[in-house]
This record gives sequence, C-alpha cells and structure tokens, in this order.
Amino acid sequence: MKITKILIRRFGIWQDLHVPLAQNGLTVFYGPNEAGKTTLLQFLRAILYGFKSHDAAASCRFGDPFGRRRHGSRIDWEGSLQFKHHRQVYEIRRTFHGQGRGLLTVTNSTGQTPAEELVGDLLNGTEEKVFDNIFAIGLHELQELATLQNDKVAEHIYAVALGPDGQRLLEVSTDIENEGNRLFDPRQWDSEQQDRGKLYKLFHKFDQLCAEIESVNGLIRQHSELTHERNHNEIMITDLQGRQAGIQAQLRGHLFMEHIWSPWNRVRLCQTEMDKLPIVAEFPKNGLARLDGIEIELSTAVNGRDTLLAEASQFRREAEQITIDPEIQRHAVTMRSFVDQSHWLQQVHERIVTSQRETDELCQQMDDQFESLGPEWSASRLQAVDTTPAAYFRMVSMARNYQSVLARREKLRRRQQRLSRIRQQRLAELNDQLRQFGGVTLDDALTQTRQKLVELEELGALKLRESELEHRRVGLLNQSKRLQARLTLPKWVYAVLGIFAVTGAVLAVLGLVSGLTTNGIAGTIYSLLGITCGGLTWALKTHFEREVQDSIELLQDELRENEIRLREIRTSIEHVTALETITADGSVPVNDAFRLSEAELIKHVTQRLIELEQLTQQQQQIHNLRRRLSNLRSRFQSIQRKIATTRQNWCELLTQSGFTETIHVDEAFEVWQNVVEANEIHRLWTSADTKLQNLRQTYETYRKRIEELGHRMHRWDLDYEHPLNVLLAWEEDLQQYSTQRKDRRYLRREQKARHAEAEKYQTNIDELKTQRSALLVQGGAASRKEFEQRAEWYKQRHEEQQRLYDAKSDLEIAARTEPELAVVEEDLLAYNADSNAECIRTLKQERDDLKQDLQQAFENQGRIRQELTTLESDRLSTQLRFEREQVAAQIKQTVERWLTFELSSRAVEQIRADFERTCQPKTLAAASHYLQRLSNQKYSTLWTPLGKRRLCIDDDQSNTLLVEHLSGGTREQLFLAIRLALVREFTRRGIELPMVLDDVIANFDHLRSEAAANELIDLGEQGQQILFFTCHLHLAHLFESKGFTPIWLTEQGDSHQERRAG
Amino acid sequence: MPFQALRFIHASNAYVDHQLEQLGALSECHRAIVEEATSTAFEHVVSACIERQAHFLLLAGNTFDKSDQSLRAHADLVNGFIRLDQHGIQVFVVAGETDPLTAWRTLDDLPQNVTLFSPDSDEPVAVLRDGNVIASIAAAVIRDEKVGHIQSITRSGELSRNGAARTIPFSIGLATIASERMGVTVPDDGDEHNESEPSDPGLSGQVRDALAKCSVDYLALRGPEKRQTITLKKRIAHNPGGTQGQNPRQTGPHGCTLVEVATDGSALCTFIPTAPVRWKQSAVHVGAKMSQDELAESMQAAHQRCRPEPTEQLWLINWTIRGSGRLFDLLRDESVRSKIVALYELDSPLPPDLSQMHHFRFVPQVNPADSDLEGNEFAIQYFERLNLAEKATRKSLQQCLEDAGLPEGPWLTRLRSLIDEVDHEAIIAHARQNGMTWFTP
Repeated sequence: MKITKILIRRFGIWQDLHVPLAQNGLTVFYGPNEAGKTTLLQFLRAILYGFKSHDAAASCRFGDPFGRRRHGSRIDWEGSLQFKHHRQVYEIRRTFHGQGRGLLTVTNSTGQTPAEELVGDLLNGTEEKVFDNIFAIGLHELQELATLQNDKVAEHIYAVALGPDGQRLLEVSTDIENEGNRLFDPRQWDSEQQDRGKLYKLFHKFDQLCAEIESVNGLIRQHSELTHERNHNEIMITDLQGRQAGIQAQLRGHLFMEHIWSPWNRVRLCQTEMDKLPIVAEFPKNGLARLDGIEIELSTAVNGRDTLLAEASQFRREAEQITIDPEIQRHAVTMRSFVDQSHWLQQVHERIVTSQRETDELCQQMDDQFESLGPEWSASRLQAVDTTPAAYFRMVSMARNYQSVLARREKLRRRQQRLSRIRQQRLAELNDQLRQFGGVTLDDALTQTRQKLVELEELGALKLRESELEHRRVGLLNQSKRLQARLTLPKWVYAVLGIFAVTGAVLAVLGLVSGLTTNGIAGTIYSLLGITCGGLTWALKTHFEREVQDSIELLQDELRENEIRLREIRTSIEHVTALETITADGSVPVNDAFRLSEAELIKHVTQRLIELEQLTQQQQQIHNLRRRLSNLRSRFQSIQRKIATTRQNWCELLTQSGFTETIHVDEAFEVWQNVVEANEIHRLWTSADTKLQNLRQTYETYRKRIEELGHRMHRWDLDYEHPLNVLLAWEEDLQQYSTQRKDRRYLRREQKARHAEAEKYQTNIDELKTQRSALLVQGGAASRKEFEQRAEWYKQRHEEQQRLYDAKSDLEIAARTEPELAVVEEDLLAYNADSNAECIRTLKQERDDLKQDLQQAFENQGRIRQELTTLESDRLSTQLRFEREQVAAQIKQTVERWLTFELSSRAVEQIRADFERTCQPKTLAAASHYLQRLSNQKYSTLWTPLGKRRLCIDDDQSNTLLVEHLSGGTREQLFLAIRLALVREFTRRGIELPMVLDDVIANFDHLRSEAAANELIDLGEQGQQILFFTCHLHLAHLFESKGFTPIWLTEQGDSHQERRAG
Repeated sequence: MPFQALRFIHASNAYVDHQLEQLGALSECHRAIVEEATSTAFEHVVSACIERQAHFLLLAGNTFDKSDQSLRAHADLVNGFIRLDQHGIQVFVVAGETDPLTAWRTLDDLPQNVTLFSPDSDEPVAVLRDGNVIASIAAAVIRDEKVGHIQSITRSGELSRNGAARTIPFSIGLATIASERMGVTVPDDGDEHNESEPSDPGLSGQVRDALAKCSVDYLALRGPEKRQTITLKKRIAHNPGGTQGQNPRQTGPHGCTLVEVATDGSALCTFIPTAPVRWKQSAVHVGAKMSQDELAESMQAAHQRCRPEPTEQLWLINWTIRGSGRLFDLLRDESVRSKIVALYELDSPLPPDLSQMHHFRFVPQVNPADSDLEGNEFAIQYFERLNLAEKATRKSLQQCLEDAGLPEGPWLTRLRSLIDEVDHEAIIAHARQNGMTWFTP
C-alpha cells in the first residue's frame, strides 16, 4: 500500500489540506513546533484504524473537542488518503461525528466487499497496536521499551518458539540453575526444604561448631589455674608436714620420758631391796617340792610291791585247771585254713549258680539274634564278617561319600527345578507381553517403534508445513478473488468503449458509403476514424485487462505450485499416518492417533520404547537363566555319573566285608549293627561257659581236700558232699579251741607280769632313797628343817632378781621405741610427771590442729585432682572436633556436587551463548544489521537470552550490554533498528504499510543522524514508503542535501486560525 | 668401653586426640573408636615401649596438634610419659609443625624422663645405662632444607671400619623438618604395609646427602606418608609414618618402629602396629552386565590378601566404584549397597570381630565415543568443553568458583582451599554423565 495523497477536510489544526506524496521512497516533512506534524501522524492512524476520542482531545485547542463549531454549530473530522495497492488506486475516507471510530468509505471499491473488510484486507490483518508501535511512531513510542513488549510485537522480536534445540538448552540451563540454587543460594539457606542452600547450612553449622570448640578451649586456662593451685597446695602440704614432723619429734621426746621414767624407777628400787637379803649362792630348783615328792613316792612303791606278789600266786593256780582236745590241737592250722576259705568257697558256689544263669541267657539271646539276622546267617559266617573299627570307618566314609553325592544331586535337582520354574514363569510373562505384537519379534517391534518415533517427529514437521502452506493458499485465493473483482471494468468504461466502438463502426460504414458515393478521400478519412475508434476501444480494453490478467495468472501459477506442494505434504502425512495404522503393536488406533497431538503420540511411543527395552532386558535375563540351567544340567549329569561310581564302590565294600549288597545305607548299617551285636553276644556266651567250667572244677577240688582232712581227724560223722556245712562245724570247734588257749595264755601272762612289776617297784624304792640323800646335800642342809630355811631365803632373792629383770626389760623396751633419742640420768632424776603431761597435752593439741589443716589441704588437693581428671577426661572438645570433621566432609561432598554443576553450567552456558548469538531470531539478525549501521559499527550484535524477553547488545569490544545500560540516543537507535527490521519482516510476509516517523532521530548525534538518514533513504529505495516528520531544520537540510526536498509545513501564526498547507 | 646393644622405639605424627579427617557417616560404636583412635594409638606406643623393654622413646614430631588445644592430649601424653618413667624409659621429643616447642613448654607437668630438643641447640644428649653412654641423640640435625647445614652434627663419630670393635656410642639424629620437605616421597603402591627403599634414587637425594655428611648412625625422620627406610652403608634414615592414619589418603597399617641395635652397630627396624583404625582405598570396576554377586566377589578379591593387625578394631574402607550400566545406577540406592556389603561380609576373608565401615565414591565412566553423537551438536560441544576442562581441572574449578559471584569472606576462602581437596576425577566424570543425560536421547 502506497499513499499517494493526504486529503484533510478537517482534523485538528488542519483544514482542506492536500498533500501529494511520492509513491515510493522517502517523503520528508519539515515544520517547526506546533506546525501540525504530530496531528498528521494521528490523522494517518485515524484514517486507517478510526478516530479516537484523544485524537480529538489532542486537537481541542483548535476547536471544541467532539465538537462544536466555533459558531455554535457542530463540526466533524473528515479526511481521506489516496493510495495505490497492487496497481489499483484507492481512497479511504473517514468521517467522524464524535462517536465511534468514524464512518469509513472506500472509493474505487467494487461494492461487493464492505469498506471495513476491504481496509482490513489492505492492512493484511495488521492490528492497530502493531501499526502504532511499529509503522507510525513518534519519539515517545521510540523511547519506550514497553511498546516492544506487546505480545504481537514481542512475538516477532523474541521469536516465541525456541525450537527443540533452544527448548532443550533452556531446560538444561534451568535445571542447572535450580540445582545450583538448591545447593548454594544464600536466600534459601533457611528454607525448610531439604538441600535448599545446603552449602550455606553446612558452612553455618561449621562456623557454629568452630565457635563451640573455641568456647570449650577456654577449659585450658581453667586447667592451667587448677594445675597452679595444685602445685601451690602441694607446697603447703609439704610445709605442714614439716611442722607436723617437728611437733611430732617434741611429742616423742616427752612421751619417751613418760614411758621410760616408770621402769627406770622400778630398777632403782629393786636394786635397793636385793642389797638387804643374805646371799644363797646355790639351791636346787624346787627343792622343797622335790623333797616332798620323793618321800611320797617311796611310801607308794613299798605298798605296790606287796600287792603284786599276792596276785601272781592266784593266776598260776587258775591256769593249771584248763584242758584241750589233742586232735584239734594237731590239725588246727589246716582246719583254720579251710575255714578261712569258706567265704571264698561260698562265693565260688554262688558264682557257679550265677554263671550258669548267664550262660543260659546268652544262649537264648544268640538264638534270638540269629533268628533276626535270617536263616542265611550262622555262627561261622558271623565270625567271618570284618567288624573292626577300620572296616566300620571305611564303611562310614563310603556311606558318607555316597550320601553326600546323593545330597548334592538332590540340591542340584531342586535348584534346577527352581530356576526352571522361574525361567518358565518369566518366559510366560514375556510371551504374554510379546503376544501383543501379533507375532512380531521383540527386535522387530523395537525397530518399528523407533521408526515410528522418527516418523511421528516427521509427521509433526509435515503438519506444521501443511499449516503454513494452507495459510498461504488461502491468502493467494483471497488475493486472486480481489484481482478477479478488479478484472471487471467499471460500466462507464464499457459505455465509453461502446460509444467509441459504435462511433468507429458508424464512421467506417459512413466512410465506405461516402467513399463509394461522394468522396473517396472523405470516405477513407471516415473509415480511418472508425478503425481508429475501434482500435482505440480494443486497445483500452486490452490495456486494462492485461495487467490484471497477468497478476491473476501469476497468482494462479503460485497457487498451483502451492497446491502441488500442499498435496505432496498431505501425501507424505497420509503416508506417515498410514504407517501408523500398520505398526506392529497396534497400540494407537488411527482415529486416536488423529485425535492425539504429536507430542502425546511421541510421549506414548517413547513410553512404549522404554517398555520394549525393558522387555529386551527381561529376554536377556531369561537367556541368562537358560544358560545357567544348561550349566546345571551338565553338572547334574556329572553328579549322576559320580553317584553310579560311588554306589558301585559301596556295594563292593559291603560284599568284601561279608554283608549282603544293598543300596540303602541305613539298612546296611542296621545289619552291621545287628551283626556286631550278635558277634558280641557270641563272644560273651563263649567266655561265660569257659568261666563256669573253671568254677566247677575248683569247687570239686576243694571239697575233696576237706573230706581227706576229716578222715585224717577220724571225724566220720560229717557230710562231706556239702563242704560248707563241714567247714561250719569245724569253725565252731576251732572257736572253742581258741577260747581255751587264749584263757590259759592270759593267766600265765598275767602271773609273769605281776612278778616283773614287783621287781620294778623294788628297784624304784632303792633309787628314791638315794635321791633324797642327794637333795639334802645339794641344799647344803643336813635335815629337812634346815633345808626349808635355806629354801625361803633363796626364793626371796630370786623374786627380787625377777622384778629387777622385768623392770630392766621394760626399760629396754621403752628405750627401743625411740632409738634415736638419748636421755641423761639427771633428766630422769629431775623428771616431773605433771609438767611433762602438760607439755604432751599441748603438743598433741598442736599436732591435731596441724593434722586437721593437713587433712583439709589433702581434701583440697583431692578436689583439685578430681577437677583436673574431670577436665582431662572431658570428651566434649573431642566430640565437637569430630562433628566439625563430619561437617567438613559433608561440605567437601556438597562442594564437589556444586562444582560438578558449575562445571557443567559453564559448558552449557558457553553453548547457550553461542546458540543465542548464532541462532537468534531473524528479526533480531536484521535489527543487528541496522543497528550496526546506525551506530557506525559501534554495536555489532543484538540478541536475546533464551526464554527471556530481554535484549542484549554486544559492542565492538565484545562486551555485552543490556538495554538499560545504553545511553538514551543509542537506545533510540536500537529501537529504530528493531522497527526497521520488523517492517522488513512484515514486508516479507506481504504486509506493505507506510512508515510514519515523527522526529525519531532528533536525539541522534550528527554522524548517527546521517547514518540514520542514509538507512531511511536506502529503505525507501528498496520500496518502503516512509513519511518522515521533523522539526529540526538541520535534519531537513540533511535530507535536502541528499536529494529529498522536504515538504515545508508553515508555522502556525494564529493558533486559532485554521491553516492550509502543502 | 665396648659398644652396647640397645633398643628404642621411634614414632612420629602421633597427633594425640586429633580428629581423623574426611569421615563418612559412622555408627555410635564406630564413632567411639574413631574419636579415641589417636589416643589409643599413643597408648599402644607406650605399651610397646614397656613390653619390648625399650631403652628410650623417640618422638619425632607432630605428637599433638596445638591448634586443637586439647586437654585430653595433654593428659594422655603426661600419663603415658609417667608410665614410661615408672619403667625407667626416657623420652626424647623433637617439635614438629603442629607441636612447636612453645606448645611443649606449656605442658608444665612433664615428668623428668622427658627431654625436649630445641632446633636451636646442637648439643647432643647422652643416653645412659648403668652409668655408661649407650647412645647420643642430637636434634639440630637439619636446620633447613639445605644439606650443607647438616654438617654440624658430624662430631658423633664414624662407624667401625675394617671389622674393628666399635667403641663410640650409637648416634641418632632427630630431623627437625618433615621428610617430604627433604624430597622424600613414597610412591602410592597400594595400601598394605610396605617398607622399602624408594626405587628412584633422586627422591631421597637430600636424605642420602644428609646421611653421607652428618655421620649419624640413625636419622629419625617424620612424615605423614608411609613408613620408609633409606640405608647408606650401615646408616639408616627412617620414617615410621604416623601412629594412626589421619585421613583416607593415609591408608594401610600404621604404627611405630622398634629399632634394635646389635653390638656391631647394625640396626634392625621392626614395624609395631599401633593404629586401631585403618583406612583403605579400594577400586572396583562395575561392568555393564555385572551382577551383584560378581561385584561382591570383586570386592572380596580386592581384600583377599589383606590381613588386619592385632591393634586394629575398625577398617574404614573407601570404595571407588568406576563403571556404568544398570548395576552402577542401582548402587546409588542405599539398600542395594547394604545388600552388596552384606554379601561381601558374608564370605569376607577378614575376621568377624573386625568392624568395617564402607563408603562409596562413584566415578561414572561415560565414554561419549561409545554413543552416536553425530549431528548432536550440543553434545559434541559439551564434551569438547569438558575435555578442555579436564586438561586443567584445577584451573577450571577455580574459575568456576571465581565466576560464581560469591561474596568475599571466610566461606569463599574455605571454598578456595577446597579446590585442591575435591575429587577432580569424580567431578569431571559426573559432569560427563550430566551431559549424557541432558544431550543424548
């Protein structure tokens, strides 16, 4: 759409304004402030999209808003734009009566399409907001970033769809950022959520533990103080102990005096007494008592001798009266020997009876054992069986070996059965799941599913392409329809052409007639005029229709090409969709597939793929199980062979040992046990029988000897068949004989004893007499009286000596108690017991006081030691340091985790940075180009971070700046560059609208103003219509110098007068 | 006077009551063992001195950490020294980086048997037995890294030559700087106790020079690394390692060294375990088709030849799981890990009374070359950038930290210090895995 003329009937300060414009390129308007440039901008917006209340308000100073004519009548805004669009000339007129957006009329409309719809088609669906922010902008819109944040505008700038790569990068970046924050976000360290700001938590805990350890370390000072106190206390104790030793020494001296004075005084008194007694040098010890004893013994001995002699005579007479049998006396020894052995003989007899009973019992048991072993067993075979421990050991070893092999086989069988059961179960499950694929193998299903996933992704792409082509087709059809409508020329044209044609025909006929009838030349002229009119008619019609026809044909060609591509795409989609229907699993019916979105389908197929991979793993496990089962079978067969060998060995061993062959180990051992028992019973029976025979022989031999002795003694009345009865009788005889002999011997012995004792008495009497004489001589006395006097003197002196001895002993003992102390006799003579006791009491008092002090000091020392021990055994510091190490280890682990993400993050960020700079939206790429030129190569790249609506600019030093960091002028250059890029993008999409720029480069410096001017001129030369308003004369001259003469808008001389311009 | 045989114990880096570092989650009973680990190890050192009837104990530095300000360390040390004093065993202490001489001097209740060596003093101290000097100990052996300064202790005398009976006492030098600052490093050859001379002669060049020039019979080194013995003729430089591993890097058994000097002056070093806790680092590769049983078997195989020392109560096993596949992904689940650990412990060759704690470090092995990345520009670019970052991981991580926009302060300082400690391999591997998740279908 190219505006060719601006016609303002009345709008704001403008009235009856007619401004013709160049159809292509740049048109510059210059006018000072309040010249009506902004009003023109508003007018253009209003004509295309309708009047707004503030348009009128903005111009109210030039008349009443919504208003009123100055002369009391109502006024209307009215104006029109003439423009060319696809070689057609249109005029859009809008009349505003104070309400709504104004009445719209379009001249040159076919009338088939309503004016609003036609304008909408001309604008190609461009929204008003987009037009206001992109195409028709003033300095205010240019400076405001928010005008670019409008959804529709932003969609073009930031390219909302990132594409799968961008989306993935964005997701990865977000994940990394979240993870990093989770570990190391100081703002989240107090969060309740686990791992939120974990590192900060750990560092905080570490610091806390360090502080606690520091506080605990204060105990060192306490320990040092206690150590010093302990040392001080030890010194004090030493001092007290020294004083205590001194007092103790004094006390010892006084106590020593107290102890020693008493025995010393006794010695002194005893010595005085002894000096008074006569001296008896020697006297027999216990002289008087001994003399009395000798005389008493002498009298007793005389009486005893006489009594004994009388008793001896009486015993001799009684012995002569006893008589004894001579036969018994002769054979008494033999008889005694037999009688002595009667008990043994009795035992022999009893053993014979017992042995007989045992032999009978064993015989019975042996019979029973043979019966249980079977008829094939006899005593001889029993003897032949090897039942030695070695044989038993061999048998047990072989049996164990055999049973061990059997157990291993059983274990293998169970394991094999268990594995087989598991495998079958898993195989059944796998088959159940594989059955869903309708006979397709798992690998094929996996391949098909992967293929399906690829096709689904392809389907998504195709559908997107189909949508684009469909949209394009509809656009082409609409355009074609509009051209078809333009193909029909207006009726007046046909009327004029008809007149020309008719006139031409008439003139041709008239010329022909005139030429034939009147004048050939006139006829020729008429004919030529007629031909000219006809030709002109034909030429005009052809001229008007050919251009439209050409456009229609071009559109038709494009439409056909578009339809072909669309058909191809749809064929591809049908092909892919058809593939869907024949997929192996059949899990997604065609109808469902159409209903589901591609994303859901992909998700579904991905899920299926995971399931298939799990099935593959299951299949592998089953394969492993089969392999293990195969191994187990091999081992089982090996075991079977081993069992056969072992069983054969076992049977051979049984045969060699004399047993019947059997494979039942328990049975064999039962037979073994029975045979061993039978052997044992047989051995016992043989032994018992031999023993019985021996006993019988002994008994008979002994009976014969008794009978022989009885006959020798002429004792025919006894029954010798029962020797025990004979021995009983003999025992009675021997007892009688023995009693008689004993009595006679006793009497004779007593007689001799009495005689011997009487002789002893006599000897004693002689000795006693000798002793009495010797004793008297020894005492220095001749008589008993004199002896008694000397004995008294001797006794007194002896007692005094004893007392002296005791006193000296006491004195020595007392002196030995204090060997280090020495006492002189003068001190003892001057000793005063009372004053000494007083000293002792005083010293004891002092000693007790010191003891108490010492006790207290020791208690204090004990307390200090206890406290020291408590401090030294305190584990708190150790535990805290342990916990600190634990936290340090956790910090290390978390830092490793954090660094992993940071390292990953750096790599991803670099990838992302490359991606953001190299894969930026097309609009930003074009804007970068414009910005580079507008800023004279100062800023090279304009890009936006993934997923963010934020602009970043790289300068020539490769520094990245945000919009906020740019200067005002540069920011305006940036926004102008973005708008130029957007306009180009719109043009590429078929939206061709004029740009209206109201003083947008007013803040540019000279160089950048020139660069901007050049850029606008270039853009204009590329076909973009630009209306550039400025109030700066230098800008007007700048454009003028470049060949673009501005349209000079005159300054408003009278603010209340309406103006005409242009 | 003939040369007398002697026996002493050399320990270093005891760090009494210092907490073990980089621990994972622990149960209460294990926590008690870990908390007491360094103190228990020192007790074992003292007990070893008494049981082996050592003539003296050499503490070659870093016996405790001053910054801990631990009363328990103070008490444990004093009690241990008193026990040694009761058995007539002397203690010779040289200060280290964490226990400077000033810190030792604050321990005002040290018993009489403790001798502190000052790096400023060259005077040797004689060790007496029955009135005879059996050894001389000097601390100021090495003033700094310059070998030339070692000559100050050459007065101790030379070893016997030509088989002549030796009369000069055994001389011991206590190095005042850590062995790694002297160029002694130990290659990482697994976590088992391994006492051998470094294969690279250049590694121990300074120590060799020191041995050659200072003429001590025994140069007592200290270092956080594994124990190490360097011999030059009959002279020995020995680093017993720490009495207890302090962090997951200090793997294997730890303890002290019993040095037995024969009458001919030859010394025999014997390792005496003291550590109640052992760190272990084991790596297992998880294949794409590996089962849980196979993983447990691989884990058992990794420890097949490991035998615990009698003092050990707990093994802290750090598993590095590399690989990919379903089992690798499942291992992120705690319950799956527990199940595998149960399988591992079921047939573990280790004694049942030895507690074990397992911590897992996952290094996903994602190979972009295995994936079809053709046409996937994002993935290709991402992995190219990671490959670039991998070549200079530290610098890249530092750059990440600086670019994160964190405010300056102690936390940022700490984060900077963590750059060298974090697991660069795992970070790159996880970043690669992220890329596979994000950019490949």
